[in-house]
Amino acid sequence: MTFCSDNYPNDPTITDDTDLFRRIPRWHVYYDKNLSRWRPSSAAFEDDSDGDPMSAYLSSVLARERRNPSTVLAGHEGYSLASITAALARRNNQTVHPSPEPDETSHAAICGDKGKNKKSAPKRQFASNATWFVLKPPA
Amino acid sequence: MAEILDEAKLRAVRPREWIRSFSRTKPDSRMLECYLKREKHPFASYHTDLQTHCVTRVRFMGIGEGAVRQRSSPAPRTPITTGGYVQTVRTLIELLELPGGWNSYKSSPIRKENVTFAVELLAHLMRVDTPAPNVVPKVRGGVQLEWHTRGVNLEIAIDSPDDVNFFAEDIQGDEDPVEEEFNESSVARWIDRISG
Repeated sequence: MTFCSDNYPNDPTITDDTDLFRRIPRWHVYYDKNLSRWRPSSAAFEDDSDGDPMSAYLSSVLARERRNPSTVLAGHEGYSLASITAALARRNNQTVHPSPEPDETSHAAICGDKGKNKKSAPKRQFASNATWFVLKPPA
Repeated sequence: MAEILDEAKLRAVRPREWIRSFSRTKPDSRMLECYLKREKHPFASYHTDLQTHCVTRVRFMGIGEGAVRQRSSPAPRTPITTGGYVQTVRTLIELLELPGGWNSYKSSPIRKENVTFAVELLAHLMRVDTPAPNVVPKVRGGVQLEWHTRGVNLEIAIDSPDDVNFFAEDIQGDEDPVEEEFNESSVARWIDRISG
């Protein structure tokens, strides 16, 4: 057993095609000349500073509540919103664990090593495969 | 900032430059000096007795001379004279003002020693024709410098001056990506590939 499977076990009822939304601050958005598009930095897909797993918001819960995903940006002016799929997270050895909060029922924890000193680090996979739901390029 | 300056004063057996004299022309130093003095910024301005010499008299902590010697790029690195470098320093300084929770989740303020290290590292690494990196804060107070250009992805992650790693890959080539502890000679070779 690992820390993640013990504390943030993967929930198989969250299907692989579920989008996991994550707020991206302007500092983590830049133009990638290799890809010819705006992209988030790999630094946007790291665990919290206190060691808690990375937060995300489940599209399945948002849809059930008939909410637009951009509602998770409320109160966060200037932020972009990117998503990865649950399948991508799982392929990169992460668990997807619903973790509703009082003010955000769609909150989930994405738990697993994000990949320091790894050539195919999950955080890098997430950054390069993320899609924008809301993109606010820095001025 | 004061402790960094104090440490630098104590270590200054001979005046050593933050931006080294052998690699930087006077106008360039003046430009940075003017920028750093213009704003009352914790990065450079709080130490009144050093204020007027903040750029030219102080060597900030971080990279050892050994690291400089081990670099083996084909030609001596030209001084960084571009606005890109100045803009990068300015962005790094701005990071110091980020409050805790700056990413809307749990994130720490950016630590001064990491910014200082990044500024000096770039002074070593960047050539006059090196594009400015994307400067990215990290959740635990570190900084990341990224280039994604000319078919190369290069990321230098500074979690602390003692914990620096880099990732590099040529997305068009056959070489395996590299991710390892910071090694100036290796990184300098990747910098050469994206410069010019």
